[in-house]
Formats: sequence, C-alpha cells, structure tokens
Amino acid sequence: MRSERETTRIVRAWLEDGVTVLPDRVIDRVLDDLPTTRQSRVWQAPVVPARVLVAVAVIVLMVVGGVSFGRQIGDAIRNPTPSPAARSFVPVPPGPLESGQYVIDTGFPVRISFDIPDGWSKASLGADYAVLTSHSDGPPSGVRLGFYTVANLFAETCGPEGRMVDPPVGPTVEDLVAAVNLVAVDRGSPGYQALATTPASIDGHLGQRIDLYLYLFMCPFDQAHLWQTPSGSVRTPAGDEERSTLWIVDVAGERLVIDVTSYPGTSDEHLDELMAVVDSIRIQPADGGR
Amino acid sequence: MDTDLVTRAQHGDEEAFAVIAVAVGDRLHAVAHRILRDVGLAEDATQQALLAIWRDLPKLRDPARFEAWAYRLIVRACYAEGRRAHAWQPALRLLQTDEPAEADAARSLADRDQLDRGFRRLSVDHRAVIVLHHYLDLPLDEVAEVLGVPAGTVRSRLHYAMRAMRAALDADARPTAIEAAR
Repeated sequence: MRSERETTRIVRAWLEDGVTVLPDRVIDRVLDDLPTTRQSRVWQAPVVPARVLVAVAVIVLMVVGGVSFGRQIGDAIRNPTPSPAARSFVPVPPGPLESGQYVIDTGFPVRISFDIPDGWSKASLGADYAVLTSHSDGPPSGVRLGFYTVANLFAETCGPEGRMVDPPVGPTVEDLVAAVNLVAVDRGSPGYQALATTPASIDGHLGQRIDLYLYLFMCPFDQAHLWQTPSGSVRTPAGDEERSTLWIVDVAGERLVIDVTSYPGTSDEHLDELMAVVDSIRIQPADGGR
Repeated sequence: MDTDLVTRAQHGDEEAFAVIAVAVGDRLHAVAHRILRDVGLAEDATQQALLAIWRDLPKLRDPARFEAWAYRLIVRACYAEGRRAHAWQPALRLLQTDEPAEADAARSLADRDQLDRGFRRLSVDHRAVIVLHHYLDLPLDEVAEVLGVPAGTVRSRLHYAMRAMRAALDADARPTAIEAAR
C-alpha cells in the first residue's frame, strides 16, 4: 500500500507527461471563426441625472407604500388565475413540450401553473408529484424542476432504500425542514449536505428554502433516496452530483415541495432559464380558493 | 494576463484577442489533454473554449480574474467534449514483454498504465480537480472558484479522486507480466 504522499508524487509526475503545445491550426480555426461569432453584450445602465433619480425614488416609495397598505390587492396581482390559453399538463404524454403556459389542474393536491420556454420536457407525473426536465442531455448538465407532496423522509439518504424516519415527519413546513436538517446535518449522512435554510416564499406562499448537495459517488452502491410521497413514489438523484434547492411552502394547509435541481455542468444560461420558470410559478389550493 | 488586452478584447478588438489566444492556448490545451486523455478531443475542447472566451468576454466583470475564468470555460468545454465522445474507450498501453526491462522502468511503466486506467474511470468533475490542483498547482479555494463549487466539494472530490488513483496504483502491487515471466 503506497502512502498518500507517494501517491501524490507519482500522480504529479504522471501529469507532467502530456502535450503542452496547442497546434497553430487550432488557433487559426478560432481566429477564422471570430467574425461569425458574435460577442455577448451586457446591458449597460444609462447615466441618469440626479434629479431624475430623486423623482424615481419618490415614485418607488409611493408604490411600495401603496402595496404595503393594500396587501390583499398585491396578493391578487401576484396570483392571477392561469390564462385560458394555459394547457393542462396532465394529459400531455411524457416527452418534449411546446413552449407556453401549463397548469397541473387535476388529480394533484394543489393547482400549479408555470411558463416554460422551448427545450423542456415532461419527465413524469403522478398523483402527488410532477417532474420536468430541460436541455435533456441530463446529468452532468441540464436542469430539473419537480413538485412533490412529501409523506416521509428516508432515515439514511445514502445507500440502498432503507428505513424511513420514525416517527414520520409531521405535516407542517417546519416539520419537514427540521427533518431534512436532522437527516442531512445531525446524522451526517456521507454525501448529503444541507448548506443553508432561509425563510422564503413562492407566489406569496410562505415557507422555507433549503439548499442541498448530494454526492452520489460518496454513497454506498452509488444509491441514494431522499423522500417518499403519499402514494409511495420515491425521489432519487439523477446524477453523480446534484445541487438542489427546495422551496417548502404552505398552500392553505397543504405542504408543497418545489425541488429545483442542477448539476456541475449546468450552464449559467440554463440556470437563468430555470429561475425564470420558477418565477412564473403560480399556486392555488386545488379547490381554487385561497 | 495583461488586463488592458482583456479589456480591448472585451470591446471586440480581434487583434487583442489573438494575442490572448496564443498566450493562453497552450495552457488550456494542456489542461484539456490531461482531463480528457485524448489529443483530438482536447484540441476540440480548446477550440470551443477559446471561442466561448471570445463570445462571453464582455460578461467578465473583472479582467484581473481572466485566467480563473478561462480555466472554468475549458473545464466546461471538457464536459461537452466528453459527452460528445460519449464513451471514452480506454486505450491501454501494453507492456513490451519482449524487451528486457529494469525493475524500476517496468514499475514506472506499469504505474503509468495503472494511473491511466484509474484516471479514465473518474468523472470529469474528479479529473478536473486533480488537474487543476496537482498540475496547475492551484490552491483548493481557487479550484473551487474555477469550478464554481464550494471549497468543501473540491476537498471531497479531491479526496475521492486521489483515493481512486491510489487504489489503481495498489492494484499494481500484484506481479506484473514481466515480473511473473521471470
């Protein structure tokens, strides 16, 4: 058995052995392509005179004050009913989706609508979960968006499917947040980390946001299991390394988990697109009331 | 890297970019070759990374961070090339059994062979951490910045990757074909 130091020395020496010069033809091809490769342009804020800034600040204060005063009106604005053109997500077969607004309106504990651009697909839909993916190269790139109702967590995230948290997780947002932190932090599951928990909301529904990392390669047998839905469906990771943000929100007493997942190779553009989809999410209780 | 050159290239100066491409091309190619272990794939990755650098330069807020940013783009290009190539078939380097070899030389050759095989089994994430840290000598916090992941992730990836490399080397503890034939 070699020592760690000897291994490092051997690996470093081995890495020195390899090409170090880029052939001129590659540089030539790059330079030939420059005229047809448009540079991204960043938006530059125009220079605004100070007195205009003061006027804008006054207007902003008036608007903010008005919204605070009339919070009910604000909520109504933030939670419009899906447009009549919204397509039902339910009957669409798994596979690529046309861009536009979709609504999960039947057979689900809450009514959810969202807008998606081109390139998204329906991955799966059940009575208590719905999963969409984008840029379907899959891990280690692409993104995934899931909606779940969670019945209980696995006591050990890493490894083969095992026992559940006992007693089962309670029904509130706080119950689930505490359980996730218990499994990810207190029990120190290898390969499973909860980075931060912060208060958050989606479409005005209050809750908590948890950022998670899941390193499948550190789990026994490259397996991991996060939670189970009431119908028994199990959330498992799709890639070797997942970065998930969970929004756990309360929708008129129904706890909803919105699970946003990316991978190490996910591009900034795809992340921006994912966040735009999250911003478009509108949630109502299944009966339509609030 | 000269920040003035970077700033000029950010504003569309193709001559400034050509100077940059020549200056960083070798280094990026060396990194790509070590991650992908294939000269053709590494050339394609370097070409894609250089074009991505040109395309996205205006988004780079701090020209002084150019090199770390360029390394990030070459690693991304390696992901893309790795996926495109789909399967990296191990090109095993066979021991020359008909040629008398000193024990050290045979051991060294066998080490390289085992390292090559062990490395090819790693994901691009793990290869990138090894190359950035042990080839470019970047400290772990800079590797984390280049890869856009927390420092803890880099540490765990490095730990796992080096453990795998060590296991690959230890597999060589068994007698080699040459030694067994003696």
